[in-house]
Amino acid sequence: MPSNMEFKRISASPAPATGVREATQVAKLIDTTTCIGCKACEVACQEWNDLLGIDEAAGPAHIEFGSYQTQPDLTANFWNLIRFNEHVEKNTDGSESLRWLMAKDQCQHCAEPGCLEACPSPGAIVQYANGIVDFQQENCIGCEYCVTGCPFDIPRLNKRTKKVYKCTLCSDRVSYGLEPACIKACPTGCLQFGAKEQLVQIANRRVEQLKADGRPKAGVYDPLGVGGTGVIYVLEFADRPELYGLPKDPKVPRTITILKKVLKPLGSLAMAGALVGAVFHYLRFGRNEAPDLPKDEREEVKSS
Amino acid sequence: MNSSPLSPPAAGPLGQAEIAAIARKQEDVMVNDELIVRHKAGVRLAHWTLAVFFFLATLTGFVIYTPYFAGLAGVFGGGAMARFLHPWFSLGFVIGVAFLFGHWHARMMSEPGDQEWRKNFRSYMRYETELKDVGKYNAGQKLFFWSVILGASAFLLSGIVMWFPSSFHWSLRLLSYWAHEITFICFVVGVIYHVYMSTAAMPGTLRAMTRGTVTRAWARWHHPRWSREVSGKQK
Repeated sequence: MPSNMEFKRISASPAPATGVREATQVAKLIDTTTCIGCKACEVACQEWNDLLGIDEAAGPAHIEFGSYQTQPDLTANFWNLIRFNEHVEKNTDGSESLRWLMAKDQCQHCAEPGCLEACPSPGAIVQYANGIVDFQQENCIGCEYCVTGCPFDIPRLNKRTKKVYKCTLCSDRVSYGLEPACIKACPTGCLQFGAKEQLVQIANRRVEQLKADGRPKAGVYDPLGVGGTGVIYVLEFADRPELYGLPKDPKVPRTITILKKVLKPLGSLAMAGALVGAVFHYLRFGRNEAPDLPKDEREEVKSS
Repeated sequence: MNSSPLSPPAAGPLGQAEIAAIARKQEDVMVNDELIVRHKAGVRLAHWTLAVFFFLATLTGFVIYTPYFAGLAGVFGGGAMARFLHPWFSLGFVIGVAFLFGHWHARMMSEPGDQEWRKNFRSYMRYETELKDVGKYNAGQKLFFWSVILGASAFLLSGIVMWFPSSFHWSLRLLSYWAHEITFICFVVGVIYHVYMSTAAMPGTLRAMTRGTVTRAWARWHHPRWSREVSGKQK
């Protein structure tokens, strides 16, 4: 954990924040229209985070499944996966052609993280003042509540360490003023890193460009259901993010919020109330002592 | 059920060791004309097994239930250890419940006298009733028993989902969190009531689960029909 970054949120902690200073919200911009599928970002991610070794316990990696994609899914030691989504397009002459809709599958660094909301272990998930959501594995208890809380299905449990892992947005690099490793490796400039405010402007300009270029459905993916994300996309088909493997309208599961904010306090009250109730009952009614046996039955005892 | 009293001993009343030996194997028998065996040893063992495991599972569960109890994790070797131990403790609890279910389910069926007990619940709690038609277990104890069976089943089913969450669908996991939590709250409230009633509120009750026997006076007062059946006395 970078010691020079302040916290905005800490999981399962009565005192949530340590920072009072205003921090720039950082973000990563992924322009899926200029991704060429070179996978340099995947390599850079594995390199920087020292995830190169194949960890059998982490899940199926390097298996053949009929795709150019590196592996079928994210694993506990693979946090950044370029998805080669296959898309069939109708041409003007009626014929069909196949193309890829590239998408960078990774933690979205939600402004309102569902994982952090669900986490029961104090300090296992934190959100820095600059918006990065980070897992602190030393505090993780391996309950996988975060997996359920995440609307993007990102966190992965390592079966050997019983801890959950995901993209850190290179918080260790960012805390020293460096850009994330994937950004540094991208050869086309489809990945950019900086202040979110500025990146949204860049994204909007790019969308205008795409629309002028005959792609009317182009748009920015920055879903409001999770308060906006720290990873924003420029999509050619922004009306159908499912084509890219992105949920259409991701939301922090409200049932988890209600569970924590309503049911748990009510439950604690009920349990404490039962204890207090028992004490009051005792003070009011005392003990229900059994009286001695009636005389005739007692004599029966003696005579028998 | 063995409702006939033991034949009187040849020489004097039975000693402590002899009573304990009888209470190990037999139930619902009278010894020395003054004690009645309420729970044989197997039942007591199952009860205390599930009680101890319930206590351990509750403590490790509290670690995850609320961050205010996160410090308790240290007792079990940290949060990750508490998460690891919790399902195993719970399994011990469920096995204990299963044994008691096997032994008790037939005796916990509703009887005609239960209706009267339920009607008089308020005055029962105020110690103002003297109901004559109460068998070995009153309607409240039966309700507690069936609640435990229901609760343990809910704990088990939702617990399996939470033990191996990646094997189950997302919506089933959410449902399990709710089921587990609601069951937990109800269970703790029920257990507080159970422990209070069987210790502080009703003197002479706890020994039924420790030594296995109760006094005839206790049986006559709290479970008059059972006392009549077992002792063959008291018109």
